[in-house]
Amino acid sequence: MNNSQYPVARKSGLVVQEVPDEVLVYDLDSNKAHCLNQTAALVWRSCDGRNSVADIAAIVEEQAGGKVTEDFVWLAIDQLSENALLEQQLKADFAGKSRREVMKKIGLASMIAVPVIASLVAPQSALAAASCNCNNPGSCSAASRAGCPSTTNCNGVGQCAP
Amino acid sequence: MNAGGEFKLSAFGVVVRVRSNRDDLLNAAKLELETAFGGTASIFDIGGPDHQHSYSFIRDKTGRLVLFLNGKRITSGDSPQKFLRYFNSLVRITVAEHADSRVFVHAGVVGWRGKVLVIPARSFEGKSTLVKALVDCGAEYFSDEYAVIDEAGLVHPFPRPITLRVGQEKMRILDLPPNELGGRLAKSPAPIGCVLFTEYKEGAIWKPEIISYGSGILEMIRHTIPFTREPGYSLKVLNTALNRAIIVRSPRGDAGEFARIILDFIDNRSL
Repeated sequence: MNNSQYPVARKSGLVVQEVPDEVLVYDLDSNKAHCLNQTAALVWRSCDGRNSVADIAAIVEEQAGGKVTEDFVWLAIDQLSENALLEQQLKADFAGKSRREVMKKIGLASMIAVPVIASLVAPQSALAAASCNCNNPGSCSAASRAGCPSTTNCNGVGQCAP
Repeated sequence: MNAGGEFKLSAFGVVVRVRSNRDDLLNAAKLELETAFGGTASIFDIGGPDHQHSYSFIRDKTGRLVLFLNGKRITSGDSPQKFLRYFNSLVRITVAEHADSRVFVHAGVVGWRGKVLVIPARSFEGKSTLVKALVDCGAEYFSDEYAVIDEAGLVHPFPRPITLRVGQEKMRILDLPPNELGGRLAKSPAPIGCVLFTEYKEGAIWKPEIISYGSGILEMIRHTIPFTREPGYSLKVLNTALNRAIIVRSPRGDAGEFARIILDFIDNRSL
């Protein structure tokens, strides 16, 4: 594992809302919303470009009150990077193991919650999506057709259109 | 004589102008919107505040109805009833997306023991049926469409007629006016006690899973109408609104049976 990395949390283009024990982040560029659990949030906050992965592990250990390995921190960094929440892309190397396997192994051994980031694509403009809930005009159900002024209005992307 | 004309609707700080080249359509549209907004909107036949959005609908030379939004053609149809219903839904979405000092979440909402149960869901997911069943069990009717949340985190009533879809192949839409629901109508805003993410599954067993506060807000984002336009504000309001709520996920079966189960769950948690 390359522990000479000094990850930097991304700041621009993000809307951040701190909530008890978690952090919500909305990415204006990708229209994705993320929920970082307490551990993932702690790692993210520690990514200031001056802390190495080993430093971050020490910070998390001190604040969360349990033993933390560098693999543990890399689990978080891997997810943060994948979700474009770091300034630079960083890919963890878990010696051939998948993230899921590492997560499971660490989760069993750790007293601290494994870092987890949940994500979803935020809804597009509601008006743009005013929908008949049908994606194929040829097979719109009665329920979805009822949403449109005319059955022929239900277009290929599930919208009522001219 | 079908001279047409215009009127304005003002609701939650949003002003919409509606124009038509036909009196009959204009009057029908006005009635449709007055009913749909359940007393939360003002209608101005003359004058009124400056509008930010403009809908126009005409009957063209072929007799087809055509709808424009801010000058852009949106849709067309032959059935006045379906057309006006669709127009009605677009105006509600316009208000929901641009409302001042309110965040609209697409959800069924009922009041229970001084707090509110919010059931976020998309269209066609059975929330109206569940809302009706909850009201039948004694819950107060807030809305079957939107949780209207203010900056203090309180949910305001938005008592439009409940829209029930009956039948499968030959579906009918039944609009039930709030005063014919047979239950109590909410009169005042109330804090959120519980958010329930649920969907109908035949034969489902009630199996509540409490989810974290952050996960709950994340899931609510899917149903938050102004989110893309005002993400920071939406998150701030959702954070305030949910900070004393329990957030639950469970499948559900028949609405009539599960309404009682859901209310008992809330009572047992003393929310």
